Amino acid sequence: MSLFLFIIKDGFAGLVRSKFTSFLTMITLSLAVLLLLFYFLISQNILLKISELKSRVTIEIFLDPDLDSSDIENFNRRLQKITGVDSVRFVSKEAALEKFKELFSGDYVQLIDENPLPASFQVKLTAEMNQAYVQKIIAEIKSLGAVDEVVYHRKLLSALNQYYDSLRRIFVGVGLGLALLSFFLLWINIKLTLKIKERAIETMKLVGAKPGLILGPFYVQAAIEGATAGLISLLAVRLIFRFFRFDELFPAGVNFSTLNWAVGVSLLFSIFTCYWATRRLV
Amino acid sequence: MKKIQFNAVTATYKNGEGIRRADFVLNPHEFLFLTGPSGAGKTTILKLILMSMLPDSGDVQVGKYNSQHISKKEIPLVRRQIGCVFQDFRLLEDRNIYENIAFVLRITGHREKSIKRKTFKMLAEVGLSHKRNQRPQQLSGGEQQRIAIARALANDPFVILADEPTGNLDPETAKDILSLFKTINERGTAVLMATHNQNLVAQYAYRKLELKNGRVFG
Repeated sequence: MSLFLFIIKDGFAGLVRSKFTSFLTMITLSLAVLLLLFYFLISQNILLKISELKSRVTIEIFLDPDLDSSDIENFNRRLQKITGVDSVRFVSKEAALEKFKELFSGDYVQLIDENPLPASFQVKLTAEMNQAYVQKIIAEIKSLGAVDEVVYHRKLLSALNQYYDSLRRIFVGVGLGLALLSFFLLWINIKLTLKIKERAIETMKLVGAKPGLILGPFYVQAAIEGATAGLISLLAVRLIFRFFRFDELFPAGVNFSTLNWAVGVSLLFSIFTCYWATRRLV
Repeated sequence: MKKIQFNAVTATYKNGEGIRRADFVLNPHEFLFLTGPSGAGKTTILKLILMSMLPDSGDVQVGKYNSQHISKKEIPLVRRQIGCVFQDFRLLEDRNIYENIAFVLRITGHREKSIKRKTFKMLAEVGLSHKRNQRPQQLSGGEQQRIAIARALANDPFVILADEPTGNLDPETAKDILSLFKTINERGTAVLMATHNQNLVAQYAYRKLELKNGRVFG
């Protein structure tokens, strides 16, 4: 058996030999990854929801009342060519009046004998609706001419952008905190395992085992524990979502296929923690 | 021929204990007793040979390796040509007897066939082949020490270092273990045995070095 195979085999054997501590490590790591997964899902959902709200914000372009239908058609064509414009909806003077009557159903509405409302275009943008981007597109729209006024919910958009940025910062910060806490828990676990094996490690050193040979099985064990914990946490998320309803907490829904990274993260996390715990051991 | 040589070695701990200006040679095939009370420096000498401690001054020569020029990477190579037997046996408790002996062969890259052959040979030599599947804690003290000796011999070392190997054994078993060391030595392996048991030492006509307050006499 080559040394490499011996290390792999001894890593697997280590799992069996230290069943309890391995089980404890896997449970700790699974819970940590599960916590991170839920945290990721919640933050992803909130940010998606804000993005969705932002995408609903439209730019309204009120046209010059003197434009005829061919001018409007021409304007429409040029408007759609602007980079960043996703969809364009034309609202005629008549449609605007109908909408007005729907919103303000009072006697005074009947007194309007001539339609004072201008025709308009409602524009949705493709990319991120941040202030600078919207301002740039508005400038382009205005440069087309034939525009009386351009209106959008500047304050709402500004507030949404502010929320989005603040929440993203908070989520990253708390996420890192959680990762650090998980690392610490796992580190303690591995240190305890090493404490139990301290004497055996010392003996291995005295009989001439090289550091790689002593630590190799620990890394193999950590890799197995990490991957298993990742899989357990993925399975747990699916089961939790199957048996409990979280519609209010996750209005944007959950795409499980985007969570597979958890296995890789758990694996790397476990190996890194093992490295950190054993770096001064031999 | 490989030998161990101490040249004016001084090695001290933070509390000031240790050994001072130790000069001696362990010749090939020799059996040497290292005696002295607890704390006299016996274990320090063994640590210096295993290079788990390096001298403050002077140098230790172990085969072709010298403490003054040795690199960290070479230390396992020094230890592979030495067999170690300890008072508390130091067997790997999470593995069976077979795996304990096979371990030292695996780390030196022996093939599986050779590991099996050598391990069975060692088990037979110490008369414990039938216990190969048992764990160390299932064996008596004497049996554990025999396994430790078998492990120490597995890599054909040129020297066996024994640190109070009979310290945890009853007189009868201690005598058996000593007799096993004698046989090993007669086959050509040098033995350096640290012990404070003067009665035991007196029964053998081997050379003795006495340690007193960190100084080597004899």
